[in-house]
Amino acid sequence: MDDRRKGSPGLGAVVRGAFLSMAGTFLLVAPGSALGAAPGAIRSLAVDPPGDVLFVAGGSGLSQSRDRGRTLTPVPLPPARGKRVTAVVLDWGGGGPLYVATDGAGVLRSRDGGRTWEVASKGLESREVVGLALDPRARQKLHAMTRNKGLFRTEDGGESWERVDDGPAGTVYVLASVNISTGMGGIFLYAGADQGLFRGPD
Amino acid sequence: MGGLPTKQAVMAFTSFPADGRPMLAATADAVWKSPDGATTWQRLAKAPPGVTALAIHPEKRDVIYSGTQAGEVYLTDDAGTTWRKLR
Repeated sequence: MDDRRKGSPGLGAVVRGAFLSMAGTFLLVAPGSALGAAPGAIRSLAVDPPGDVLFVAGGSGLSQSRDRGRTLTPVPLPPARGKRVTAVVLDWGGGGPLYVATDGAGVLRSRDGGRTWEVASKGLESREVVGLALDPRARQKLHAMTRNKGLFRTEDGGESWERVDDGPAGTVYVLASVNISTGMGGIFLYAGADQGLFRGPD
Repeated sequence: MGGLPTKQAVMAFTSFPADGRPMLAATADAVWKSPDGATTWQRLAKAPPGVTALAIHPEKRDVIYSGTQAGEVYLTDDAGTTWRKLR
């Protein structure tokens, strides 16, 4: 069986079962069949250790809990009113920024634990962001996967974004930076998608 | 490196920030855990149904939250051996 699958244009081949070291190339590490997420599904979770504040992103927006998830309090997101929140990530332990990805309003950033928000989407070619990942080694570095404009990176905490490439093929549900060295000076970026689990150098 | 032993979509993924161990991935009917940087994957014997979000506590690798397709939140304090529903 031909085990190769063409990735998005410009990415080169995505090959199952082997690691490709080309920058920006994602490896399909587990093929998958398509599955959609329900409108009320929880899309993303993040924990901030001081106080163990749990942030929950889902169909009804962003919420937070200070009792380990038993009760949730909505977190207003004025710049993204009415938009779905697809991901929440934070620079944990010490009051670092909180970021959310939205399907329609781009990326938002809060520097005060979610009380106020600012748009952090300069350079993003799409406001439909379906995945967001914060680099655990360089916390000003994030990746954002858009619905139809590919993968973007910021290295200044969301002040500006640059396009990386088309990202993984198919519909991406989750993006995550994993603190394991690639051996090429970076770490791995993983993506969960309808076609399975992908990884590539960040 | 070993891939996930499943052909399903991957709805959720997380890893421990300090060293990437463990990693967890959720498919439609299971949660998978890799203790060794995606070399091997084990299906958790018990997991919440329909997991669509996962997060490991940044300072406690055995504390893991999961969110589901039904909007529920679950917590494990023992790295996924047992889960309790929070809401």
